[in-house]
Amino acid sequence: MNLEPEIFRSELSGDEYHLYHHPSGLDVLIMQMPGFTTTEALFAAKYGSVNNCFRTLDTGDFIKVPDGIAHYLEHKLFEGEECGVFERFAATGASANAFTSFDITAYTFSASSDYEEPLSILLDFVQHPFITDENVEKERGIIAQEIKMSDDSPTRALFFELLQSVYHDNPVNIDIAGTVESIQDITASLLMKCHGTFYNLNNMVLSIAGNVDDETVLRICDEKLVPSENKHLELFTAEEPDTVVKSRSVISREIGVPMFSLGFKCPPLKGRELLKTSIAADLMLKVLFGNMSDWYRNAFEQGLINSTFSTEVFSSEQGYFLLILSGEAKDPDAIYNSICDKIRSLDCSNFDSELLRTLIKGGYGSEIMKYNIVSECAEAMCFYYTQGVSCFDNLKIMSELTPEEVFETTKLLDTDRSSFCVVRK
Amino acid sequence: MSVELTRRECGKGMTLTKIHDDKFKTFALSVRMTVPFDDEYSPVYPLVLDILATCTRRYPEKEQFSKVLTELYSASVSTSSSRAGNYLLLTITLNCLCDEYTIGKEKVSETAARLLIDCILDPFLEDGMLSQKYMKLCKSDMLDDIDAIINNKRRYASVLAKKRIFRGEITAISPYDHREAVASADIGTVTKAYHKLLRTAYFEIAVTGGSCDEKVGNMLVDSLGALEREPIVINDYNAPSPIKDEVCRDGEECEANQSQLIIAYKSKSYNEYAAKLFISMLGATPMSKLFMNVREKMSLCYYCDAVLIDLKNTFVITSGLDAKDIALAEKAIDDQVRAMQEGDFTDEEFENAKLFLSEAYLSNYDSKYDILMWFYYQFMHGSCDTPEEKGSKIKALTREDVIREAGGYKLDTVFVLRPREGGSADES
Repeated sequence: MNLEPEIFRSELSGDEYHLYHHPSGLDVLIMQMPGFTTTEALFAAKYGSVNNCFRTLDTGDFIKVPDGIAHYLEHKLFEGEECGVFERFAATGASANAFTSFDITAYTFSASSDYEEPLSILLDFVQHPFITDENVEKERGIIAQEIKMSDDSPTRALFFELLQSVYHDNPVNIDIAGTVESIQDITASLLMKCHGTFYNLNNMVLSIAGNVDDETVLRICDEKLVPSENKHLELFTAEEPDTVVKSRSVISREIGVPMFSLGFKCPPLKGRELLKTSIAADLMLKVLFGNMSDWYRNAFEQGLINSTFSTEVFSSEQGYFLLILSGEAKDPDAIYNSICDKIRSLDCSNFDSELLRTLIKGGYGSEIMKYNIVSECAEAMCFYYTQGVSCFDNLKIMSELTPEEVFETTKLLDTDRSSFCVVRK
Repeated sequence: MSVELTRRECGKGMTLTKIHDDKFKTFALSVRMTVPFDDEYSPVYPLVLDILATCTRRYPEKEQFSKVLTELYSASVSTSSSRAGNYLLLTITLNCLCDEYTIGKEKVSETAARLLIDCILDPFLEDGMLSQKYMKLCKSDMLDDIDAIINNKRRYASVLAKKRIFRGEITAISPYDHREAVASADIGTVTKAYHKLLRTAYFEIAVTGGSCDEKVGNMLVDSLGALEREPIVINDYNAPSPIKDEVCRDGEECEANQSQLIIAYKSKSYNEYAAKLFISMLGATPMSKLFMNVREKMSLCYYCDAVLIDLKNTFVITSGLDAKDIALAEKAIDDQVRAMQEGDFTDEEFENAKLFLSEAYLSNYDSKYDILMWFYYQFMHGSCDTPEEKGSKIKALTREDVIREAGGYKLDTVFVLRPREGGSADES
């Protein structure tokens, strides 16, 4: 079958990848990386923990499923009727894994000598679940332990405390794995319903990078993919107020140094606009609070923060967009006041555009460095695809940003729409 | 493979390793300084390294130094410290974009290499001492790091368990044991440690990755070669841990939802290849006995992994589970170890494990750090095997080799970190 790819190329780094719209309904992303030994693949469904209410032609009305079901399904797909999926991969020498995020569930493998058999297995097992009441029951204990392990992480507890403090109804405020209680309601038939709904090739993507060639990948796709009928999936999106749930919260854990996280709730965006605003806001945070800023120097030298301090833009097409400043601090209130003082004193005339220029140059280097690692290439293609943009849009947008556009994003630092969370003893 | 490896002695107590592969867009320049573990300076050597990576005489402020690195397309200088047997390995590394990938092919590699050299040899000094300000800040950071170990229960349990597993040995010394020495270190001690490090450490210089100016490695060799030195001679990294006469059983409590079970086995002898294959089959992959039985069949835990502790003839199994299941899990784990010792595994499992390991070795070629670590590991073990060569040696192993190796291991220590009564509390 001859398919013509859409070609994405970075003029700056010379990297290139291809997007094929396979007739089965699946989009296939391929990056050939000459000289590399390994191949990394992700077969991903646009199905994450936030997709907990939906309808299709089959379901009729919207149905609400238990929290953590996408992650539970990820575990269950590794069952096989005759032997487990890991055993199938074992015979190829490849290493298989999977992960569930807020937005996607991805099944991965890494192979060195031969990627054809692992790719066949990957495409096969994800499309053909073997889910029984018995094996669903068996998994409950394993996932309960995974949840308890996560609950013991104060970093994770702080992150979800922040999300619950900021978002009223967006399901991003629910832990990806659910809770020990919520997973008790998950059944084989619900898992099959979710599989039938979201693991439709029209809602999936294959991203593969490394020692590959397009022709072989497409041949295996032709052999293994079972065309999907479009079921007209519709996701329920709750109206999310502009306000935060609570401006402040404290949780108690046995930890070494208190930890804090300050999140600013931003209006949801999509596609290129989301990417551009995210990049601009990320640069803005680095200019104001990054490790080359005056604010950072003062806070670090006064002992208000340590080197764990970081800034982050947490956003996606799923309606969440949050600017986060977090780290360890012996006196979290002092750091909160210092950040608020800085925000109050913002003025376009003293925005450090020279530092911004340096950051953009550094950002260029960081982007190029990313295309040096096979797994990062496969992940980046998949991630940007699910966000409706291309991998190389980052570089282009960054190089075109003006200081004014970056400064404009300081409007997102609205303390009336922020939550400050602390973990301490 | 397109990798070119060269290694040469380039002075007393100094080697230069070059691993070149054009597929990489970046290169790394590093110096690994090896010193014997000693009570006086070992706690502060990592602090010295952190101060060196913060500023230089030319860029005495951290922010200035960070800006210069960012201007060089996000070049970075990082540090790490680890142990090999009774030695401390202190590494300072520059990561930099190759000149051909910069805008307008701007030459950055030589400038970046000069920065690394300045970090090591031309630090910011005040009255002949390292920076008091950055010592204070780096020290505070390091103490916070030590205090934060408890945040990760698996790591915390491992630190506590090692005290029991390696009782009386250098490997038992934990960051907690060094806390006081770090907290009380003054700038005089830190500066003395700096000079001692430069004078006595064995230097492993490495340039690894894509194209960079040929001068880059040589600049570092010339600069370090000009020092007056009395470098140590490394005889043997191996420091096997003695098997206890009686199994040590101990535990602690902490605020948590989950218990951590850590079990150590030790052997008097060690066949590197057979040991790696044995551990891979026992508990290092999702096809392993521990994964398939303790996790998948018995549903006791999310993870149950086995790892070899290099140079110590020891392997350690770690699992997170409910306190009520500890005895059951301990027995299940012991059953799987015994199954390996009795040869209770299929030819298919055996061949698949060999294939998995030899394929995994090849993946080292795709990271400039992994391939350097690969060869460092080989050098440490007196070999220069490539991933292919080592894969061939693994493939040549017989079932009997693995059974014999497994049979040498005896149960040595069982440590449990249990949840304390009463859980976490939230307030708003």
